[in-house]
Amino acid sequence: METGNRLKRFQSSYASVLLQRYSVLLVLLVLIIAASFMSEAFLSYQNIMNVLRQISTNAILSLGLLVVIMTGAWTYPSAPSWESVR
Amino acid sequence: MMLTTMFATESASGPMAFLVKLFGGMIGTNTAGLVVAVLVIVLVGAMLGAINGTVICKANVQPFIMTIGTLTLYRGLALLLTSGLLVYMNEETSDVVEVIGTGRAVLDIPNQLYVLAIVAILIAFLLNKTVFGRSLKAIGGNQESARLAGINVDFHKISVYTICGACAALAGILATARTTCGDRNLGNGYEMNAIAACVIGGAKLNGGRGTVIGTLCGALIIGIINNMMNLANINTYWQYVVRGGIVILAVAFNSRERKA
Repeated sequence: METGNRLKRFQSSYASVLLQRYSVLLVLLVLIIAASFMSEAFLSYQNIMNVLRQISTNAILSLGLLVVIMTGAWTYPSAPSWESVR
Repeated sequence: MMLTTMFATESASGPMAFLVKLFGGMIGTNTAGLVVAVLVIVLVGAMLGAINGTVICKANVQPFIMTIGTLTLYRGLALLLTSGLLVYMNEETSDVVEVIGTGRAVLDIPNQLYVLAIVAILIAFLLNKTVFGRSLKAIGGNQESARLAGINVDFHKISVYTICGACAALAGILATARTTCGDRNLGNGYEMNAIAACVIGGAKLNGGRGTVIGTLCGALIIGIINNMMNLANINTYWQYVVRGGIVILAVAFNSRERKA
């Protein structure tokens, strides 16, 4: 019980909200650091531009998909979203 | 203007898995032809998206089923139109197309990045600064109350699919321009990458949540993981295994968050 309460308090705390909001950036940062340790070529200008060019196709695709997902248009056809009703 | 058979780009986007195919593309030896061709392809993409959206809303077809259905359908059409072969561009055309594919106009930065930047800014503006974007979020939060508040849900959903179709077409153009060759296998696996980028970026599949920055970060994370595996000389087949695993993990992480 006690631990449950403490967990709840943590989950609504400021630090946890920050962590949730910026977890993507954190993962990205960790990945970049790991990759630069793994290979010296990673942080070269040529490779950075190469990665950015490779993702640009996927990123445009994802942005289009994001608009659909945000509307919830992809999971529920026309029924109300029970997730939010509850 | 020379007529060339090209752009058998198959670009599979998540919700509609989409085929951009302009046969007899109107690219001549000048840039004006290129602009016209790009516009036509994006329009065709938007149209196919609108068709998907309309069927989903009006005929009450499960979106996911519709997606997989049209994915297979368009893939079949692509095979039929190309007879399963690669479609090559002639010398002059590929010279023009390479402006998008490999060109670096300003500051030694690939042109694709400028296209991406423009799209990202447009979508961010649409989602955050317009009534339309607000309505989308409202529908994502609770469709029924959005409808009761006077938002035309069907119209918004169909336009959302239209936007997605246009984006998929644009992505298909970029991918094709890099290879200067129409390949019906080009878009294979793109749909999973797009879903992964959105989910990693914090978008909830049930709607209402998601940011442009997050999605860009998601795409970057996938790109870096692939790049790391390439640099480390890991078998390409493993990249599929890893990508699938990441999507499942990200969704699991997201739903755990929601429960809490």
